[in-house]
Amino acid sequence: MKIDFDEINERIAKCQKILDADPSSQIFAALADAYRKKGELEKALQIGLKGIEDHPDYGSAYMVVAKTYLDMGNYGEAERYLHKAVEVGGRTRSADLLEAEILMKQEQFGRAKTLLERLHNSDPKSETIKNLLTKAMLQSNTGIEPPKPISSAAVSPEHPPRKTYDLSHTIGIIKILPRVLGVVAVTREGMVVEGQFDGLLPRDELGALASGAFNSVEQAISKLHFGAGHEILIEADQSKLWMFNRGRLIIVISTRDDVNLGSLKLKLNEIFSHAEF
Amino acid sequence: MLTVKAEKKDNKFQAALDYLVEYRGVREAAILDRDGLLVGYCGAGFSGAEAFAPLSLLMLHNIDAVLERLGENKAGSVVVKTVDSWLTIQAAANLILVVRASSEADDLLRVRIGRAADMIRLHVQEKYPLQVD
Repeated sequence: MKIDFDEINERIAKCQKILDADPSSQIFAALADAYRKKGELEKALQIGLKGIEDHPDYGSAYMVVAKTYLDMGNYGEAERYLHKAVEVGGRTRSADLLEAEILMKQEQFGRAKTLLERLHNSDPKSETIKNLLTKAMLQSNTGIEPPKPISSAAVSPEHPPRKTYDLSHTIGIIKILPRVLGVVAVTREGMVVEGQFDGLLPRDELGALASGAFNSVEQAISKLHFGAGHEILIEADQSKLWMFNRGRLIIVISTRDDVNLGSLKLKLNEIFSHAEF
Repeated sequence: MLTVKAEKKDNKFQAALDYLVEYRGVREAAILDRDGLLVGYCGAGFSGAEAFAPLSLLMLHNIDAVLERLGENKAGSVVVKTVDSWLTIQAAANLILVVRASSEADDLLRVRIGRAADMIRLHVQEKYPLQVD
């Protein structure tokens, strides 16, 4: 999921122009979705909900609002608007995929897995579905807690929900940082869960190699009684490889050799502070 | 007293290690050859150079193998951070500099490690010019 802010801003400008010329246009849904992708969730929600008042039979608008609530961490509302989208527009593959994403967030990995398996069988080439299915399979095998109820504080306007990034969003943001060549999330076993990588090497191979390096370093430092590895930075002639221990996952970041490590570190700390995966 | 000082100054490897260990948070520093043999050591860490040297070399070999598959040259440096420790393995000519620090050390330690590696490189170049690439 590459975020190109210039492209998004251009899209916002175009949609806004159309909406200004024709306030009854259904373009509001595309405008709300562009704001959502840009991270301006309140604005996206405001445009989406207002548009639904004028176009209560427009299924895509409910989908955009559901996605916005999902990004805000309000999974109950996301589910409610998804159901409305299905009522109005019928069940589609996008609706199934969104439902799977919501279920994953609600930690209902078994149900998400069933849905994703069905989607994967009908479209085995989709990387998004494949990555989500891998995550659901991994999580459903580990016996995670049942879903937590959404607290009223999370939806109260006085207490706006904390901005959080899921794995896909986190990787998308890191990838667009200056001089970052690629970002891959791998399991300890070397299986790539999610990633964007510009290198010539297949990302699966990068994942396997990086997790191998990380595990071998961890084994060595455990013999020195250093504790678990938190991060590993490898500097070579043409590139740098930075690996971060994030529990079950290792986040591998490949950069050009002339990257400003101090600046990158500050940005990564900020991004990781919002990451929830 | 003067003789001891003069001897210490002449040992450039030891000078590089002393320069590192005097920095806040640095617990120990060592210079190894490419076979893992200890060329110089300074510090009073609990891990001891005996364990610290071969394991650092093993880490470096494993990482070099990964970099080779990625089409890269050997690692110039490897930094491993744990919750309370910080291990740096830095190539310096045909030798390896290993530094262990606590979390008290800050990122400026990287600059000092770079300078110490330059001191080692210069010394190797002056003393063993035919062995340096």
